[in-house]
Amino acid sequence: MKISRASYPFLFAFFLYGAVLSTIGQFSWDLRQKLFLPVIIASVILFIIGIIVAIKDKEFIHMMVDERTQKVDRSAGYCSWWVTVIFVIVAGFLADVLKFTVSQLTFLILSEMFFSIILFHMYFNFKGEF
Amino acid sequence: MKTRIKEFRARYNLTQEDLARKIGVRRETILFIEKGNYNPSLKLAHDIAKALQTTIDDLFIFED
Repeated sequence: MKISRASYPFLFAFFLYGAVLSTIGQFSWDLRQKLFLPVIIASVILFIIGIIVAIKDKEFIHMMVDERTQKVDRSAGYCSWWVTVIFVIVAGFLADVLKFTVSQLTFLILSEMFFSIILFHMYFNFKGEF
Repeated sequence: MKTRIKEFRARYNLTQEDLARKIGVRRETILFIEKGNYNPSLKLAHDIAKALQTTIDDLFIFED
């Protein structure tokens, strides 16, 4: 998994537009319509920030992977997996109580998976020794 | 763990970027090692020492 600090704005842009908007749309089409333009604007801004950081870090074409980044990747994947397992259990229970549809539950879980891997990756990347 | 990487870099007029590129790691990795926020593997410590023409013992200060 080649993720660096330049990737984070791109990932958040994708998360906002792809995951958040879609998931909200599963629960409330009206809210999705209201949030559409702000999310698009935020995603474009994040995309531009990502390009600037990638150019500044000289990672626009080639991203270097080393032992520390591999350790970050492994730790983020491990923690994200466990959080997702707990989330699936809790969401499954809530889905039963609140009568979610299959696609609502699916989008929720996919959004959580994506969000947790980004968050944990950022946490371990900036944390230092762990 | 403290390091003398910055001192040796200055001796050879190397930036973090230069050193990172020389040994094939990211600049952030060198930054974290210099700050003592990341403990490199033995191989990486050896590569850094070799790039700075010194030994691991001279470069890294282990505190008990």
